[in-house]
Amino acid sequence: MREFWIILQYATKICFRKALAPNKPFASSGKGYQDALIWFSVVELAQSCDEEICFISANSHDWCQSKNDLQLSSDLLNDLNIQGIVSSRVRFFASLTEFVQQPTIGSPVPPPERGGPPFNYQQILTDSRGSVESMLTDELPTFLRNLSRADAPVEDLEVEASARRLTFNRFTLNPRRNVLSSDWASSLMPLLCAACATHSTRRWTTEARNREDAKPSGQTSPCRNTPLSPPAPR
Amino acid sequence: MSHLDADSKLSDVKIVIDTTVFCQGFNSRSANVRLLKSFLQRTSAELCVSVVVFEEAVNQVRKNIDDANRKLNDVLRLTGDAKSYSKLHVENGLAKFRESLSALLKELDARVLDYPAVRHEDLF
Repeated sequence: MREFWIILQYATKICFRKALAPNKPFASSGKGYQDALIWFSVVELAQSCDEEICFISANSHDWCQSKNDLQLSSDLLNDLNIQGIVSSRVRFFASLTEFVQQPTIGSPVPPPERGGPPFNYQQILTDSRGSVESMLTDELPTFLRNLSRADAPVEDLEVEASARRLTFNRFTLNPRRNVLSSDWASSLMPLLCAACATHSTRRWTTEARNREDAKPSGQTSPCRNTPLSPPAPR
Repeated sequence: MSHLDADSKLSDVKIVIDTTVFCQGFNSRSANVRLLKSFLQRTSAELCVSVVVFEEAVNQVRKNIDDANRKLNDVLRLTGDAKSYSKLHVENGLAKFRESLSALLKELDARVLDYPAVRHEDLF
C-alpha cells in the first residue's frame, strides 16, 4: 500500500511539473491532466504492439501543431521518440468521419467518373451491404426531406430499414423539379434500384423514370441500366 | 484529404478515440459508427478506448444533464408548474448511458485501455 502511494505521489509530481512546463498535451493554462492520461495510454499501447495507431480526436487544438497542420504536435512526437516508438506509427484524425472516409475503409458509393465504365451497383450492394444499409437508413430520409423542403416534393415516402431487413414500401419522386440533376441523387438512384431489386420490394414507383423515358436517346441515367427485377431470395 | 500512404495497412491498425468523438455522437444509430463496425468486422483492426475517455464521456453526460436541469429550473420558476417540468434524474441517466455505452463497446469488440502505467519520468 505504501509503495502505491509513493508511485502515485511521484506520478502526480511528474504530471504537475509537465503541466508547469507546459508541453502538450497540457495547455498553456496548465489544464490537460485527462489529455495527458489519454496520451500516456496511447504511448503505452504503441509500446505493447507493432501495429499502427490511428488516434481520433476532434480537439486538434490540443493535439496538433495547429488547426491547419493536423500532424501530432512536436511535443507528442518527442514523447514517442523518447520511448523508441517510430513517430509515424501514430496518426492523427480530426474526426471519426475523416477516419471512415479513408479509401481502404471504403465509401459504399464512390462518385462516378465522367466517361468511365459504369459501376456495377448490384456488386457494390453485395460487397458493402452493411455500409449501404447504414447510408440508406441514416441519410436517405433526411436527404429526401431536405429535397422536399427545397420545393422539390417527395411524396408517399415510407422507408423502413434495419440492419436485417430493408424495405421500400412506396417511393415516389415527383418529376416537377429536377431532382435527378444533383450528383447525390444521380449516384443514389441506381443504388436504390439495385437495393429494390435485391431486397424485398412491395412497390417501386418513380415518376422520374418516366421523365427519363421522355429524354432523347443517349441521355440515360445509370438508373435505366439497372434491372428492376423481382426481389432475389436472400 | 487522406494523409495515409497508399500502401498503409489500415486493416491491422489500432483505433484510439478521444472523448470528443463521443461528444460528436458515438452511438449505434450513427452512420459513422456503423461504418466503423463494418470495417472492424471485416478486418483485424481493433478499437481501443481508454477508461479515462469512458469516464470523461460519462462526466460529459452528467454536465449536460445538469445544464438541462438548470434550464428546467428556470422554466419552473417562470411557470410554477412542477408537474410538467420535472427535473431529470442524474444518476438514472448516467447508469443508462454507462450501460448503453458498455453494450456498444462490447458490440464493437472494443478493448478498454486501463489507466496508464507508463513511467512518467521517461516522458518528462
